[in-house]
Amino acid sequence: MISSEPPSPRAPALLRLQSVAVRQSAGDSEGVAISFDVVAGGAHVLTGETGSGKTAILEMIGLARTPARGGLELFGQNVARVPRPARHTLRRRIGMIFQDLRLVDDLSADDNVALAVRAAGRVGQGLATEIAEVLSWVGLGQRRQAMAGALDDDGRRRLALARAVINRPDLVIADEPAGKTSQAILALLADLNQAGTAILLATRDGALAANAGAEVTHVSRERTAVGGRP
Amino acid sequence: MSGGKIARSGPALLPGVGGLSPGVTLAILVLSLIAALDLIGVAGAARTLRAWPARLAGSVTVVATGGGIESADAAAARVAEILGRTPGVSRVRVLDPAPEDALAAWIIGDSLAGGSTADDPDLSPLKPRLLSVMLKPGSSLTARGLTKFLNDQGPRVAVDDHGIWSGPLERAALVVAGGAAMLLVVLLWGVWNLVAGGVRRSFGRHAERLVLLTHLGAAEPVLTGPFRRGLTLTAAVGAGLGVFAAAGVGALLIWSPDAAIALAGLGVPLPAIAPLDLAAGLAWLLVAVPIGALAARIAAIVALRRMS
Repeated sequence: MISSEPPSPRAPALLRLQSVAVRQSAGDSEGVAISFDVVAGGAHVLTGETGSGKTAILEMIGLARTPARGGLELFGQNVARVPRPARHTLRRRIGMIFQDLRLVDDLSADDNVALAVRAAGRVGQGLATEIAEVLSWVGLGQRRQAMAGALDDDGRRRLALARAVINRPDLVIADEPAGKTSQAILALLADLNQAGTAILLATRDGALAANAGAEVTHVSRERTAVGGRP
Repeated sequence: MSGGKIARSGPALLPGVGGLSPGVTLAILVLSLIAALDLIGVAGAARTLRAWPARLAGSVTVVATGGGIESADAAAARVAEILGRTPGVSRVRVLDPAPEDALAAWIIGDSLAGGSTADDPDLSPLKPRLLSVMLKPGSSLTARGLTKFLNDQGPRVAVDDHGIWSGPLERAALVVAGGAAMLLVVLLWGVWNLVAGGVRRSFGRHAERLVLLTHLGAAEPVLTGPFRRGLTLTAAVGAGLGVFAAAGVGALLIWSPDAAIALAGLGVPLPAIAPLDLAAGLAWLLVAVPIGALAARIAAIVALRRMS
């Protein structure tokens, strides 16, 4: 279960998609328009079959793609009006867990997380301690010096989560974060959500979506359905 | 790892980016060598071409042919005497016949120099004598005025106005400068493309890491900076080495006559260069390095935006 308590209906929307369609690849047709909000501290699940466009939607929210049409608002700002050089400020408020994880295999777990800290331009005392704490939280406290490439699938997913949350994002986007083996990741995401971080999760696992306790949007190539909480 | 060391000693965001690019350095070195030699040559040529019109404007050649019972030698002596007391003339010298003949033979060929029936006094069978006349700076004397002045006093002369060559020389100087400028533009275009291509190739090699860092919230200058610095350094080192090499070639030509003669023997046109001309190559550094830096900056921004 991702969200045990519904957020306040008056909570501000961190993320708002209004009739947004996105192309999965250049030359591809626009997908079905989709609309949903994720409020501060809230949770939302995107479901759909493989190839339905979930990842493309998440990448668009991560500002790696441009909407083919519709309006995308992030943290109260219309993304289309945010100049490119300033977009990193929005990205820094998002923690991404990629479907393919995108870890740097020849760096240690510590350095993979430190990479996110450096990329965000954070400097100051206590960052190494913070990294150690986050790695302990995801269960990699004893494997901080292990190379990412040497970790098993569960360990790699935990490391991807640690890297996503190290900069205390307002919104964590997770694309198939649990894979086939690591249900513990979902429990960690639920803890994070209870601590006030908004979660947007994409999964093709219908049962997971049904049990998540969050608003669900079903994405398909033909139609999009928005469901409420179960 | 202790607290607070992340920013200084954490993992490099873009490992291997920011250093010299050897292939691009070598290519820029070659372009810069050509550019600096071009500038050194132009400096020498420009100095020479600037000097000639001033020298030509300050002198005329009087061709004394004589006539009637007066020989050319006598006419030349009389002209020298008249001009010796003419205001505006600083020096008169009757040229030796032998060098005159040699010069004429070199210019118009042995057969013509040996005896022509042409009306031109220079080619007259009477073998005219030549007088070199230096005018005082600011003198109002002209070739036409001197011809009339001398003919009115008796000697049959024609005055060759050297100043008529000033115009063609000045035009030649413009052609030389224009050609050199066009060559420099082409070479700068080459530097631009080498640097921009270097940035694009380097971006391609690090695409995966760049996409990741973009998602992690890295700012554009943080991502483009190492590429920009690396290729700017490459342009500066390549240009510096090229200019240095060109100065070496120039110095060899100035201080090693044998090398100059050897090159001249190969048909390489050699302008007269002075030690000060070697500094002209530095102008290339002042232009090429900023151009390289600009190319690196623009190429990095464009490549990043295409990528993300």
